[in-house]
Amino acid sequence: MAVDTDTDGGTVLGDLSSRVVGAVEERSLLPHVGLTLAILVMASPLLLAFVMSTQTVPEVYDITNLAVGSDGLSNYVEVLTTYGMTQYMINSLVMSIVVTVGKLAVSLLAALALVYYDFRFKNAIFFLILFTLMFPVPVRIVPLYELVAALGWSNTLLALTGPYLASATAVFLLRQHFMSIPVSLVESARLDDIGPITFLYRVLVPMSKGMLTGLGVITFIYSWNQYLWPLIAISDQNKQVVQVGMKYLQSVGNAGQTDWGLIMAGAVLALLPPLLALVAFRGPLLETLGLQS
Amino acid sequence: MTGISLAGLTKEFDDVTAVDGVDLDVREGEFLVLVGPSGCGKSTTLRLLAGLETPTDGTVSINDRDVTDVEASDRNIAMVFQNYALYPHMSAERNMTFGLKSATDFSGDEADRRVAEAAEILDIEDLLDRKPAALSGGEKQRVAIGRALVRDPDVFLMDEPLSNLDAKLRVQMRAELAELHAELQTTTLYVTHDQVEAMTLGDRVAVMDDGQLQQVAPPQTLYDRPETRFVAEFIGSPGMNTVRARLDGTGDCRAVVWGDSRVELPDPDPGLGTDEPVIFGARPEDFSQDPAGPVDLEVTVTEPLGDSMLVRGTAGGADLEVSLEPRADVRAGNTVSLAPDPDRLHLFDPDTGEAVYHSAPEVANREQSAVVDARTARGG
Repeated sequence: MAVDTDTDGGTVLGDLSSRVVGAVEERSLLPHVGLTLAILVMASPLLLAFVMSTQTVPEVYDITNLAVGSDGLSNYVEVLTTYGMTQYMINSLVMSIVVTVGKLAVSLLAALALVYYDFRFKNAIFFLILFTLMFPVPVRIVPLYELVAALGWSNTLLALTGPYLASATAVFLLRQHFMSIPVSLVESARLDDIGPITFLYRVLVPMSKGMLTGLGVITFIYSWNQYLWPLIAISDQNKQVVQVGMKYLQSVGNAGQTDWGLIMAGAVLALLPPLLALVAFRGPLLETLGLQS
Repeated sequence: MTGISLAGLTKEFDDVTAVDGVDLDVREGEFLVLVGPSGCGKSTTLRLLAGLETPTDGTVSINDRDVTDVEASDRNIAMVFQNYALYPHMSAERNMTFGLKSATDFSGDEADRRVAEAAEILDIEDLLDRKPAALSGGEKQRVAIGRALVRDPDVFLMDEPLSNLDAKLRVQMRAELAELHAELQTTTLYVTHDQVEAMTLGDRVAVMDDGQLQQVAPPQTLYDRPETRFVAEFIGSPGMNTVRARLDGTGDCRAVVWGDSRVELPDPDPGLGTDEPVIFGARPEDFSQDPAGPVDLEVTVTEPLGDSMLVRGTAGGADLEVSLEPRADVRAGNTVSLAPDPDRLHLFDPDTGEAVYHSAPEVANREQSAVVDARTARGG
């Protein structure tokens, strides 16, 4: 109401308020249109993928056809039953869960040591951990493969998950979070003779629930989306993960025509678990990201 | 039996000496307050006693047992922290019992009984199911004290437990703490920077500055006969005025002189020299308006407090703060003649800061004997 008072000091109250409401609507309409358009642009690949997943091969190649296709959900059924997508998804789920749980456990212990223990070269070790951030997986992939092969892990779950268990980002975030917990809590526990593992399990983990959930969701999505390393580490098709599995779908099809409907059905299916995780845990995830900024 | 005994306790952090050769004995059942400005080493002393820090030198004994090398958890102490140190995800009751099993011998039923008892003493029975976020500051501190109570320690250590509370609650909790101690008679070492808290709570008060103990004495003694200039200025609100002055005269008529002010000393110590520089000290409340008074104060600021009026100004080039009658007719710019109470004059050595003269006669201390009485009554 204060918006217009300087110009229309003597206007009738009802008139003034209706004008103000009108101004607010007008002002918020434009951003809303803009935002809706932006969302449409960003969501268009997903929408296209969903539409194509219901179309037959000729319908897909007719690029002006953007209607829901005549195949309905049969592509989904086919992908899941005939082309082993169920197995790939189970493999991906196992990998992602093992990586998520393992990474959180390792990072928790590392952060515990970095924050609550005094040892020589503590800072140097911490910086060494941060330093690993500068070597992305593709850079390490050849030596990593040699290492895994030498250990005899090729084509196993160990090869799939092992390289992902250590995470500088997770250690860093948990370390910062632990450092924000008042020292007096630790000292109080020390006076009560509570051991480090009990303290971790009973105090730190419950106090870091939001952070751990957020990290867990990020890790889950990250490992679900891995492509390059599983492609190299796993040679058995029935042990393969979903992202690589979709590549196998490419070879399906008649007369050299790729069956895009099938691939898009696989893509939509592969998208669902991360999407569910995001929706279910969006609260703690935002909390985690908030702490990062 | 001695409750706590610190001997030559020293703690160095890199090149900083936080605690410098502290010798302190706390009697069993005594409430001793360690007070000093921030950074004086009082908290470090408490942490050394708790076993949260390792001393560089010196020993710590609790109940006549040398615990210098004993783990914090084996010292049978309980600590109350300034920020309460409650676990935010646990209920008040769980906060009190968490760690009880590893810290003490109390098991299931016994623990429940002790929690119920502590909750009754602290009047927090209705709050036991709540989490800290649903408790007010005062309630949190009660739970924190309750956690210390259920452990039935030999010694309570309190690290500024009231500093996070608002002023009114602080006064209330202060009274409750005093009551609690009167009831339990557990040896308590209480650290604070608030000299009012120190004076009101302590059987004795230890004043610390720069890592060293300045004086350990019952509150009234500390106020009446401060041993050092630091104690004189620190204790009291506002603290004692100290003025660079000179001793004048010989024989029976000795006086301190600064600027055009001249204050005569009754019954001067023959050990005092003449024409020597000294620090003259007198408390704000020991000045009164007197037309014939020897100190002429040029008033710069007046602060009416209701029960008195605080007047600041300069006399003979020195800043003074005096507490006058509440409705005194004094305004900024006025000059008032003041006379200090002749029984309340103090002199300090300008180099060492040590007290060289108090005009007040030494009196037997009541608090001290009161403690002894209470302990005799308990059959101690």
